[in-house]
Amino acid sequence: MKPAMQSLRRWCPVLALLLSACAAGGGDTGRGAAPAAAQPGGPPPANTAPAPGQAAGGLSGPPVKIGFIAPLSGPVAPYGAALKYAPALVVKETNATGGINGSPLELVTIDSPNNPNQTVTGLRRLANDDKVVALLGPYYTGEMQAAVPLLKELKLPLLPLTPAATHPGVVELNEWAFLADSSEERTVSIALDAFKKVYPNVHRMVVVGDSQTAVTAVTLRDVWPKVLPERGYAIVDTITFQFNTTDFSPIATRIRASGAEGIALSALSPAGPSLLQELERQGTHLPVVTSAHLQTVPPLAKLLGKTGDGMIQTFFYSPALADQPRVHEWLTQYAAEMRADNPSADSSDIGFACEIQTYDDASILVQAMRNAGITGSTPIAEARERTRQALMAIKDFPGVLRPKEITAQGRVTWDFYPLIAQDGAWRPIPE
Amino acid sequence: MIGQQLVNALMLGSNYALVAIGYTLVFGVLRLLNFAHPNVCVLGGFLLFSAVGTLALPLPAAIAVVIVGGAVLGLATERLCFRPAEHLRDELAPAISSVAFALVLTELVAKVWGAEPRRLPPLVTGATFDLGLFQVSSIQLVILGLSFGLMLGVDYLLQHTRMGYALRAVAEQRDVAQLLGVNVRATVVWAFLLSGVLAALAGMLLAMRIGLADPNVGLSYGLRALAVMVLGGLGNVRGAMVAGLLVGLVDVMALAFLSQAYSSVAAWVLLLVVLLCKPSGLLGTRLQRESI
Amino acid sequence: MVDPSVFVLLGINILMGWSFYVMLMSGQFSFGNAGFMALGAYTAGIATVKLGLPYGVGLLLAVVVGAVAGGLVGLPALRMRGVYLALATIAFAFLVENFFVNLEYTGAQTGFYGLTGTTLPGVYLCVAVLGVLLLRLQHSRLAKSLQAVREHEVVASTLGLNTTYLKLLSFSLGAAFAALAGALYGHYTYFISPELFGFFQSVWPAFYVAIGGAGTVVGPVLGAAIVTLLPEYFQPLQEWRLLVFGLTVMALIALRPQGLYTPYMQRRLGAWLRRLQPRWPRAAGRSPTAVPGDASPGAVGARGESP
Repeated sequence: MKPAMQSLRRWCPVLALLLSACAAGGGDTGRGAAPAAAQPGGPPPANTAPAPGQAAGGLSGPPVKIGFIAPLSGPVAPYGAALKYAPALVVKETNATGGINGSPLELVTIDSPNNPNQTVTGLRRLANDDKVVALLGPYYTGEMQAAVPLLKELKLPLLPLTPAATHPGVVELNEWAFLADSSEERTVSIALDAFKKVYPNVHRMVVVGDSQTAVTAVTLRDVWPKVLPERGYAIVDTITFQFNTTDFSPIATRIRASGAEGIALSALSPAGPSLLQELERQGTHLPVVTSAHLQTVPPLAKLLGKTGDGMIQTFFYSPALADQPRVHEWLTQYAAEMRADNPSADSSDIGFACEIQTYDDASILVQAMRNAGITGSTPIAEARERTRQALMAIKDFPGVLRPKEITAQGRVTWDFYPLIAQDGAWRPIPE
Repeated sequence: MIGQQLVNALMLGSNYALVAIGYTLVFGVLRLLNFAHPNVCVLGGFLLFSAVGTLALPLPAAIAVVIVGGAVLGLATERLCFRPAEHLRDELAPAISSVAFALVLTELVAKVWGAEPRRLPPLVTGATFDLGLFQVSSIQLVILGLSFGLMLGVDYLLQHTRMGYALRAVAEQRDVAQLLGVNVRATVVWAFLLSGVLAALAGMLLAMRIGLADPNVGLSYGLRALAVMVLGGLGNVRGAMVAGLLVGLVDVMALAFLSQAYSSVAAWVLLLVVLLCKPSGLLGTRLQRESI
Repeated sequence: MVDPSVFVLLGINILMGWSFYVMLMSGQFSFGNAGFMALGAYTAGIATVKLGLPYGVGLLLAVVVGAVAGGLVGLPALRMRGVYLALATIAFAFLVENFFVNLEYTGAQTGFYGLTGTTLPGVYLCVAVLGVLLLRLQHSRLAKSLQAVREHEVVASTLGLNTTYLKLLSFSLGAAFAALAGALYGHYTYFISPELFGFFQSVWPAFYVAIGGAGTVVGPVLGAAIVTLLPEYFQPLQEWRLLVFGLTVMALIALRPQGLYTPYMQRRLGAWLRRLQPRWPRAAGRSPTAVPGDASPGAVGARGESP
């Protein structure tokens, strides 16, 4: 017994080390092999997705590469996992329809688990080593704050996965960042107008939220105090907490004592369900209007069951659209991609995690690269500049939900849909 | 509102105390911090979720699952993070190894259960008692009973059993205890086991209280419980109980009455003030001051 | 293979590792160095962006503010030891974070941007200068005095060492290192916000020191290199990356709990180098990487033996 345990103790770490050394070695091979197209016998590069059907499409020559930065590890990994099939799908379709002017399209994926440092190193690596023509991502506002200034230095166009960093003043914009045409004030106003329609008798509101996370802090500080009084609401109390707060009982008690008739909530997903659940436990069910940060995987309403009922939030997708043939076809295709990779994946909530926007933005990028006439052998600086100019000219792009364009300010148009939680699911607001 | 907030404070404080007792047990015998401790709490919550949710076990069986899980994790922490560096009597290496273990546990939880809080089915159904100043629900009473029962149990164990004598002897003078025939290694293993079980149970009680198994418990409770342990005096189990209730009170009252952003640092200010006035914690004795 | 930008971060992390190491020389554990880092970054950022001062002046101000803050925090910290001190420094870091979260002048939670100037050679110039300083310190009487304080404070003071002064000095020096690291970091990332200086920024330096070894100047460098570079090499693992990284750190510590590079190895290496180059005994004796030459102008404590 004892010697066995001892040898176990001795060998466990060694095994772990060996394992990780192999992994590191594998990574090396992956990057080393990237320039020389295929290394016989070597493991396929794990961080690149070589275009399937490359030979069948008659594509040849060096590939055109695009980068994808999303959270794949860490506590926020599910968000990356939900939308990572979107760029892969675009790559597949592009290579099946002639690639980028005859060159195969290749996707290089970098993991950044909501860590600006890793975004910066990842972005530089994509630009300098992998020589990508353009970038999709990153996911979070903090990461975007770090990424946007770099784009100017690297001269690399970026398209967004999420409406990150769209609040005025959060980043110093430049012509390389094509952020979403959204803003906290816009999404909040849309939700609040719907809220006013559904709950005409609510007048006294309490503002509650996470003051530690940059994006929600901005909404709490600048947006709610402006839009609520504009629409005739009285703010009876403002209660803030930290991102990793887990016990919401004092906050719930304070909300109950404030005499509020409704809650204006700005918090990231873990805090939202916990707070509503605690309110419910204390026997209070107030209507909630939230800014657009509560989207979760799985969607919040599903997580909360009936506790979340009556809550109103702005989304970039509406289940009412699923009946449209184009949307329906897309959803089916995405679900197939997802299940091919992970047979146990839940495909019932596709659409809520910006998958369609990511797909559209990647498709816009492909369109721009095609319009720009670049191929895998175009010098990289020239390819990036021509892609940027072609992006500026994108108008009436046939998006999955509706036509998209890039505005004169260099923003990608996004759509907004206020939804209400009913019976544990997000539904369109009844007219 | 105050009455209700006092109930909230009592619930939160008893939870902090349980987590802090686990910390302080290990610290007492080894003089080392186990940073993976709060992650065992997280796992306790998720084990409860799987046991009552997925496997549909009755509550007592679920509690048994949580206890076994906590014990296994406590032992694993000792084996993987602390035993390898035992001979060095170094303070830093095992602590950092336990941070790495915490990282591994966090990732595992995210892989198995996802990154979002998971909703528990209602566990205890019963009336909510309205006592005018405050309300208290049946489940809150059950949780409070279990929490204080556990604390008293640990106290009894330390004061009146052979294992308790050994734990206290090793905590006081490791070498002397060994000379007197205490099996120090076994005692250390017991401390980790007990600490793991306490952490898992604390996590379970927390999950029962908020109705969710929440992966974010790790960092918020971990640091708070460390503060509680230090406030109570290192290695001092009764001190941890008192300090836990105190920190719970400060946290709740800060959220209840302080305006905006300053509420989150109230507990840290309390810690600094106490440490400046009494550097060995609230209930720290001379022993605690000198041996650290 | 790995982008140069990683090496900028590596240089900054080495400085953070040293800041922990210098404090540990007198036996003081600080898990609040992110607080000093934030102070440095904000000081330098305000100086260069808001006041329009040159980059160098910003760095210098950051070092001064860091050292002073270190002294101010270190003074009450003299009464605390071990875990008590570690917790007090954690509390300090949270207070600093909270201060900047509420400071509208620097954009509160969203931070402010426009910080530029940090380059790869600039970072390594700082690392080299401070490395030489530390290597010289390593064999000085001051280091021996600090070690005496670390081993047993009472004995050290009965030996006539001014323990108060020594502890304050090492705390203040460590804080200055962290502040410099923060200033360099802020002017590299272009924007700073309180989010960047969270609790984990305080824990990483302890990782560097624990993995590399707390007994030598080279140890933290080695540890910083491993912790900074490994996750980059693990990129292909995607969602398994952090898990494998955590297991690797556990394995490293389990295999070498004393750290990868110990004073014993340093002595052996020194002896070997001496045999190799008999005409250059002194510098080689110090350390394999010791560069002969003068210390920096800011050679704090070069003659810092107890007064």
